[in-house]
Amino acid sequence: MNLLIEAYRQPESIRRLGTADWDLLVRQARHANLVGRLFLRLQSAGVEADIPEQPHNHLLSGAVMASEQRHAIRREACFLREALKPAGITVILLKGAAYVAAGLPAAQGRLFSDVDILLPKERLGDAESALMLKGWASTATDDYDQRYYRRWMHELPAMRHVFRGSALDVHHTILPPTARLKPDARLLIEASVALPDLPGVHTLSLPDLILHSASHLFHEGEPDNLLRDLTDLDLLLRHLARDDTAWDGLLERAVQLQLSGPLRLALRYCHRLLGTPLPERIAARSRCLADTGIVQHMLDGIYARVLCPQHPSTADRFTPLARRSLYIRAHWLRMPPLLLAYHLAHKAIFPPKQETHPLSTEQQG
Amino acid sequence: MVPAGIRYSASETLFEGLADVLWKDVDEGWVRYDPQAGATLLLAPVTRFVLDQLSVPGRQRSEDELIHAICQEEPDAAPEDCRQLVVAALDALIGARLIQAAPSHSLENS
Amino acid sequence: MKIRDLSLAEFRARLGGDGIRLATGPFNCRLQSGIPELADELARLYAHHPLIDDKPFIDFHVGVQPGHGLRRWIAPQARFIVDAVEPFTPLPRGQALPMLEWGLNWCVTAYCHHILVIHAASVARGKHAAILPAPPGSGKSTLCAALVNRGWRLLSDELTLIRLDTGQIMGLARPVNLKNASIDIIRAYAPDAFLTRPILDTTKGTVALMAPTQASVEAVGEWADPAWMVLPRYRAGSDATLTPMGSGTAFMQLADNAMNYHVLGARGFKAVGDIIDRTRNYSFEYSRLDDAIAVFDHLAAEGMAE
Repeated sequence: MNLLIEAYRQPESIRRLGTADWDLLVRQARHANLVGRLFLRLQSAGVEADIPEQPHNHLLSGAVMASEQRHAIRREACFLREALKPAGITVILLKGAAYVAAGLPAAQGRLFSDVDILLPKERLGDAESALMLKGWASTATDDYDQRYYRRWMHELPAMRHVFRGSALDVHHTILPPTARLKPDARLLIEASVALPDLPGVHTLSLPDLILHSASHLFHEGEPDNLLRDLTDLDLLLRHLARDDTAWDGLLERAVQLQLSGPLRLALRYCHRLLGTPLPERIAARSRCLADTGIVQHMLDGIYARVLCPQHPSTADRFTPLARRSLYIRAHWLRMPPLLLAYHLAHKAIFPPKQETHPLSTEQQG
Repeated sequence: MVPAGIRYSASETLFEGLADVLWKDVDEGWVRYDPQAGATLLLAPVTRFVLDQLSVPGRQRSEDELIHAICQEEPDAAPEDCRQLVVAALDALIGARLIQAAPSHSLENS
Repeated sequence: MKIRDLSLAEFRARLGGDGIRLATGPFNCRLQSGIPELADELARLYAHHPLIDDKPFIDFHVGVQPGHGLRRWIAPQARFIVDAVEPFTPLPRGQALPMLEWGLNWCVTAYCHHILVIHAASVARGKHAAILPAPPGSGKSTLCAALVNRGWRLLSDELTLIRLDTGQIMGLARPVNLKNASIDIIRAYAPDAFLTRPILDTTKGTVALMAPTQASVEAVGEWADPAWMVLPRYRAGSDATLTPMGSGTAFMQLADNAMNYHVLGARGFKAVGDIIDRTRNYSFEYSRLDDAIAVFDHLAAEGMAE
């Protein structure tokens, strides 16, 4: 029973929901981090009046939280500009921060916790210095993490601003250097687009944002946010689709960046799960809807289970295995096998720190 | 001690969100809410006056010029009181990043 | 049907099973617990709250459960869970009951940005309410507990909820959280009120929960209009003194104490502004509770006279 995907695909279907269904829908949406996005989806489909009062409060609450973020992210972009300008480095926003700063539909209703930026590999050292000068500090805690991030992954260890507490990820490529696919970061940087109302701040071009999202989606090991990230892709693609000719450009760009594989998977799942409109010629060219045998079948099985909200109401007995398989597959795509075994072993010995809050009702300062 | 050459102007970010700023009349003056900056400030009348004086793109004013403007607005006020109020206002506005100080020999201009 | 209409055995069974479904003001809650020793006091704290078995929509599915694995028995822990998420680190099992209260507060602050949520106590006489924002050391909870036992109804001890459309306060009428010295003070001041056993060694010191009065719970559906904003400060030996506060200072105090002021953006600015437009704003210094109550009663009388 997947009320969330159903409500997202077919907003009018909420008219048939009973009170107990609404209870479940809100909980599923919360687990998928899609409360706000669901609200905006229902609102733009004209069915907001059909949402009963109590669920309406929860959904609206999620949307309110997301909408205020717009200002917070723009402020961060300005602070970043201020920090990197002296070093002659242009701020190029990626992912959520890019959607928000550019006012794209993909920004709506969702909370983005980090700001991600892209810059040339050879400027990484200068950037790190410039950022630390303006109050950002590294969050990598032990030597292993430091090595892992600097050498094997595609980013400096995540940074956090000392006063504002905002999180920053600095990338010089969009996939790790150790991954099998190697999209050229220089091409991405060259094609970046200036924001008209935030001088000195750029984002990746729309096709590149889509391809980045697609490559990220299916290289991720943690299933919790896959559905949410898929809704990002759905919104980005629909935005691209306003210009029908842009689809062909997207396919060509995918070839150029060696990301045709991830794009194919993204189109397949967006169309099948969320009903993203797909022109026939594009489906044909990318062969994204074709069935290509057993491996594809298995992958479909894994993803169908994982792309559901991570809530007990939608799990079945295969789900734990599916989740583990996804973790292994994603890390296989990212790291050579030897490294993978070492990394997984290390993570088992030192379990990741949990996200918990000290219990306090005192106002945060 | 403020060197005589200091001139004040609006900070770069002041104008970026100006259209969205909300004001509320209160007993002590105004509460100013800036959605872009996410900042809520309580401004006494003198502070608002100084801010308004500097909220013109490209304009710079020294402390003396601002005190003079205040005294013109309030002819009955004691000049020393005006000086103290202006100094306090400039401090508050700089702290809130709404204005900035630039030495008058600098080539910087907004 | 109210909680008090259930036998303790029935209450225990539901609590350990599918859960107790009750309403706290505008929120439907489902409470579950695998820690049976809290059932007795929990049932008394919520005695007058309505059961809502006929209402399938639940706002907060919460529970306090024993610690995992060994921590179930060794240095036993309690965990707060809201719909399969644990927002806090575990606490000692003896603190399970206040942990449930703190957890319910957390739910309100996390999931309710359709309203303005202020970290403040609020009490009402009829339709007129006083909001008491609460910096630490203000003695807010003691004052609140005293008022509630002298003819004021409890809207909330900790989180005051303001509707964005009408500016009215929606009460919760949940238990009042008392700390350290105020526990004995309130026991003496209100001998008929139900207080739990003191719970020691929490991060706030010794804590006890006081049940809301029956009148408070039964009137919780009557939303109140903010009439006074009073910033209390306990100072030993002082006389009870109200000092008028400028509306700008009052605005900043309220905004500072509003948990989701920044999240609400311009809506928050407007909501706080609307409150201080309607309220008479004071800072308040006091020591003796009877004097403090007299001041509040006087405010209420003034309000009626208008």
